[in-house]
Amino acid sequence: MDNIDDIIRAKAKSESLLLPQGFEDRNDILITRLAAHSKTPKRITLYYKSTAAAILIVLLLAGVSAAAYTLSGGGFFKQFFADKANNDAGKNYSHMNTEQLDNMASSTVGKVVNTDKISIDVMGVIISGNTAEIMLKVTANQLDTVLYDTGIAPLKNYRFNDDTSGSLFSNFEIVSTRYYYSDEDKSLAPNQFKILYTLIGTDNFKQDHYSIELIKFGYFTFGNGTGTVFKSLYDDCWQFKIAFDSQTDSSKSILINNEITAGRYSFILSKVNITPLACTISLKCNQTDEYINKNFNNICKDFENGTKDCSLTLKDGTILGSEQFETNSSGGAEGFTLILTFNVPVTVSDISSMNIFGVNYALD
Amino acid sequence: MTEQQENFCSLLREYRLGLFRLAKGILENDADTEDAVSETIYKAFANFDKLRSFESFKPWIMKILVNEAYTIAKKRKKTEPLDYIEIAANDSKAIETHELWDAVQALSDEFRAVTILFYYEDMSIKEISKILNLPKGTVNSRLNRSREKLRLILRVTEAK
Repeated sequence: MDNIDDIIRAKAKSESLLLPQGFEDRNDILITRLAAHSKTPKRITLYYKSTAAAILIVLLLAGVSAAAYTLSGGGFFKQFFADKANNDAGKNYSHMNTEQLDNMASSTVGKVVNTDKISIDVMGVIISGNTAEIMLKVTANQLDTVLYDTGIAPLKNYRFNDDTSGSLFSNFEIVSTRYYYSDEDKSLAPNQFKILYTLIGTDNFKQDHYSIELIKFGYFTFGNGTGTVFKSLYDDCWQFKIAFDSQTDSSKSILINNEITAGRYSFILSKVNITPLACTISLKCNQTDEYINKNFNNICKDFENGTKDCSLTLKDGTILGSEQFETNSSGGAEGFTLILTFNVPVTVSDISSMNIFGVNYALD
Repeated sequence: MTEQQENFCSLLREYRLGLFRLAKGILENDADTEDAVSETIYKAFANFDKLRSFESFKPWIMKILVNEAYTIAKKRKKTEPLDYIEIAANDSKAIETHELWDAVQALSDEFRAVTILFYYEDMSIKEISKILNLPKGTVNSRLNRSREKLRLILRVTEAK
């Protein structure tokens, strides 16, 4: 070995690595959670809000079966949620309101991309406040089938390498992406698939046009025994815009600014945003940034424990508990966010109160 | 948790600093670096059953990390203004002097990953070639060039 190599290696061993505060704690949480769910790996729900835009992309692994849809726009999602409720046996969805979806629908419907390789149809878009749902149908015109099971369960079959680019995905708390193929959705031809996006923005969406960029079409496979690699069939980028121009918006934002305790820690419950699709709850931990970074692991534990029993009460006394929504949370020195994404659309004006960390708050 | 899973978690904890260092060499700012490490760990769990043996764990996890880091780097080039990168590069609190690390950071993009894997992770030319998907000759020539640059930079620093 060259002497300089010895010198450099010795220097490499002697210099400590500069890590961002709390890195190891956050990493421990991630490993512990993934280990607990290692048979069906899912993204962790609690993540660190870094100085850069914090983004959580959730791959929905367990979903509802999709039925045949010939409708589009608001009608498409009315049928979608009706089927979802029917297929979700054992849960009471009597509070579901799909009638409002027509007023929440975008005018963008139909073919938005038509090339010799790929065609894309917008099946439906619904928007309210900081939430939106978008369903696309993609046709691979030169392929007989897009089914290709490489054994990578969450990423099997032909798909886009990057399906979360464009202005629509520039400012959000959560975006979840769910692919449907013809083996599950019988309305699809073998060379077609659907993509459902559920978006929770950091702020309300504006009446504007937002772009979606779908980059590279192909499939994920294993490299030479080393992780997954994307094999491109087409190295193209398909871009189109969606009008966020729904007629009405029934969402509401309630400022609370009350102190609330979660386990050993005090928070300020600052704001609650409610739309027919989700409830976004914003809190701030009552500690210095340095303290939060240092004790992030423990604060997260208490925060998460406290949110387990979070519920919403409707005017008729119906309680929407954890079986009626999917919970995601994020946290960091600049604030904590708890998001309840409803399984089916709810009438915002019917929600009268919220129970969080054992305290009840009026929301009407 | 099975014994195999426990071993897997222990290895992830053992190598996470190395993963962070390599990702930082590619991405420069802490936020992207931490995202790359998290994505790598997620993918490692998703592909756990595909790991042939724990002996090949290190090159396996490093390869995943390199793929993730370059994916993030490509996205960042497309979307972020330059001033963001400059500001974010200073996220970590520099308390001590890091002569070698500063010298490595001064190398061009294509030399950094090779240098980190060779000097910090003690990996062989063959392993680096597999991880970075580069011919062995390319790894060798990059290493030679970065060695000369480091020699120069470190001597200059010593002379100060």
